[in-house]
Formats: sequence, C-alpha cells, structure tokens
Amino acid sequence: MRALVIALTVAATATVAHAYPQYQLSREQTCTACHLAPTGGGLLNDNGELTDADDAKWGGDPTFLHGGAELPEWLHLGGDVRLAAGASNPGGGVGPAAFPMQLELHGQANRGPVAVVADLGVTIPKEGEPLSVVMSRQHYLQWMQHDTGEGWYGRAGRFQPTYGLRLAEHTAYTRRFGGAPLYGETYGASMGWMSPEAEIHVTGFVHDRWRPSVEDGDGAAIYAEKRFGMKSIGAEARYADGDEDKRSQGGLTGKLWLDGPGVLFQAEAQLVHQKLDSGPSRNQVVAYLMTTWFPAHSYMLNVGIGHYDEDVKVPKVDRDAVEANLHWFPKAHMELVLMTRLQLIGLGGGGDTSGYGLLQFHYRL
Amino acid sequence: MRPLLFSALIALATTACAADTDERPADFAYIAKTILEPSCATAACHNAATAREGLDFSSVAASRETMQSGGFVTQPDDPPNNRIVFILRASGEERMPVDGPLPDADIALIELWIANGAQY
Repeated sequence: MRALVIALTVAATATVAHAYPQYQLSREQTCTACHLAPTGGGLLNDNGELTDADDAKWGGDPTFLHGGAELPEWLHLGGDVRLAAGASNPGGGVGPAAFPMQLELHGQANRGPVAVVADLGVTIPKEGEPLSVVMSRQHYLQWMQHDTGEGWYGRAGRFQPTYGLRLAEHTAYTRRFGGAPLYGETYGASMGWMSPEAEIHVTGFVHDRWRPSVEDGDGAAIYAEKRFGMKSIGAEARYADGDEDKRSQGGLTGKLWLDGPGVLFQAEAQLVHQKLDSGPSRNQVVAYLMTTWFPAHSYMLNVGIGHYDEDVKVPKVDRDAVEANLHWFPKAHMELVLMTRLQLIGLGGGGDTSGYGLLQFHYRL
Repeated sequence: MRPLLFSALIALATTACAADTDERPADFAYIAKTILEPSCATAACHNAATAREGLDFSSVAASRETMQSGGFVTQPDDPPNNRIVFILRASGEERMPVDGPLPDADIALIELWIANGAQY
C-alpha cells in the first residue's frame, strides 16, 4: 500500500505534456509549425498531425479520434493519456513504481484571429476536497496576427510564462529549478513575435489566488531566440516577487543541428539569485545539455546531463543527473518511451545516489 | 561561434563552489524556504494545492504548521531519532523526497536546527 502511495505521489510529479523542442531545427523552425499554441505544447495543427503520422512506424490517421469525428474548421479538440511503470530509487533502495502521468483534454475555438484555449484534466485531489481532482492548467484568450503562426501574438489568462527551452522532460533541473516547474502556470498576459529566423516572448504574471501554483510569486519573464540556419542562440530573464523571497534569474540557450549524423544539441544555463526574507541571499546555477539522435525512422533518443547547485557558497549541495530517454512511435497517436535517470549529489560525495527506469505509454486523442 | 557558445554554457554549468564550510543559518524559516519548499512542495506533492497526506511545505508558515502538527520533531536532544530525519534518511519506501534524496549537508543543517532546540 505504501508503495502505491509513493507511486501515486511520483505520478503527480511526473505529468503534463509539452512540446518536443527536439523537432525544432531538426524538422521545423518554429513551435507553431506543428502546434496551435505560439509557444508549443498541447494541440497539434495539420502539419503537426502529418508529422505524427510520418514519424510513426505503421502510419495511421493522425486526426482527432483517428478521423472518427469531423470537427468544424473553427474547433480543435484533443487530449493526452500517459501511463508509466517501472522501478525507482529515491536514494534508500529500489522499489516498484506504476502510475498514471496525465489525463487531460484540450480544446481551442477560433473566431478569426482570436481563440479561446482551455484544457481540463485530473490530478491528485487535496484531502477533504474531492472536487480539486479536476483542474485546468491552462485557459486563456489568444490573438494571432496570422493563421500561419508567424508574426505577432498575444494572450491573457492562465498559462506557463514562456521561458527557456521548454523541454517535455520536467525532471530537468532547468525546468524544475529554472523557472518553468511542473504546475508552474500563473495568470498573466503575454505578447510575442514568431518567425523562422527569430522569436521573442514577454510575459507579465501574477500567481493564482484561487488554486495555488508551484509558482507563488508575481513577476515577468522574457525569452528571445535568434536562429542562424541550423543553429540558434537564446537569452532569457525572469523575476518573481513572492511573499517570502524574490528571485532574479537569467541565462542563455543554444541549439545546434548536425544534418549529417542527424544529431541535435540543446543547452541551457542559468544563474538564479534568491533574496530571502528569512536569511542570507543565495546564488544558484542550473544547467542542462541534451543530445538528440534519430537513429532510425520512428525512433528518437535523448541523452541529457544536468547540473544544479542549490547554493554556490555551500559545498556538496550540487547535483548532477544523466537522463536517457528512448522514444518509439509505433502508430499515429501513440508513443512508447523508455525513461531512465541517475542523479549524483556532490558527484557522489554529498549524499545518496537516486534514479529510475520507467516505461511510459502515451496516447494522443 | 559554436565552440564559444557551448564552452560558455558548459563553463557556466560547472561553476564550482568556492566555500569549504557550510555557513548557512540553522533557522527554521531559512530551512523551510531553501530546503523544504523546493524539495517537498513540488507539483502535486506537499504543496498548498494538493497537500499530500495533509502535509504542506509551500511556505514558512505552512511548513511550521505541518512540522508542529505532524510530530516531525519530538526529541530535540537526539536529532537522528526524529520523524523528519528518519524520513529523509530512511531505506526503501519510507524515503522522501520520492524523486531524489536531499544532500547530506541539507539534512545535517536540519539536524543542527533540531540540536539547537528546534525553535520555530
């Protein structure tokens, strides 16, 4: 029973689909080449669905419900189901782990350049509040200058402030400790501009007063990226003013696609300054380097190394992690991912080693 | 351009810490904000929205309430023999956080706070 509780807890920390930025440069130049949202994730557009079918071993109809329901042109619906099972070691020994990762529906209704976007999913409820099992991570009003996804856009509502590489792998330190944590959605307004050559996103946000988010501060985030053919460089800055601390952070991103071997490198590094009401300020370093290889049709292999130093003045509180995820796309709508991760503290001298090995099944509605 | 960019990123990523000693204050508010909240109040675990098993570490006040009502420290004269330390060092399923252990230095700071009388 205890194992189940732990498994469910892990489940709740391992949810929610994002885009695969691995497809940027290797296939397309922008998120909107495959997604309806200007910053990626969630619903796919026609090209995204075609890519899904093209990449699948046995093809298939990639449209909503496998083509079983024809939607009007102004309406887009979808959903994600993710389940995982395997073994994990939180540092004290290996145990079984099996859990649902995500059960979520997505919808978007367009009227000209304006769209209403919302999702609805389930999560672990707060004890004594059964209705909290239902949640909407994102719901916002969006305006896009062109239906191609290029040009200016704006949105207002609840969403994750655009920041960093926006990896699907939320265990990456650059997401968890770098300003884009799982369930870090806030209310805010953003404006941005997208083109194959460059993009910029500026967001002002306030934390959710009704349903507490992992982000408890109010602030702003900016992310800009310039692409030079098969490589890009990005810059980012973020500020959040919470009740008990103030966080200022900034960093760089870089991407490089090598056409010959079919390998993509993505890197992000940040410095985080946390000013605390309860004691001395601290400075943190967060970094991630991911290598993506497409070894054969319908396969994608990601190997990442991460570094997180929770306080650069304190010895042996830094952590390093290696992740290797093998994705296989057997048929349109479906994905199997073998996920492995190993974490060392103080390069093995600062605490117990931990890790996991999980097999994830993902079905896109 | 390319080697320079990645060299800079890797250099930034591997910035080494200069200090040899841990001079952080063994105060509860500091521990709650710098260790408990980022490690325990994640996603749908012990944050304010979910409060798994009734435990909320999403702020200093919430951590204080959770620690006091949960009996996490009952024997200040014997730091290792308290629930909070047991959970952080346990073997197998009892171990927390479930997604990776705390550094020994962080657990040692919590033990020092307990040894100093566990003042909230």
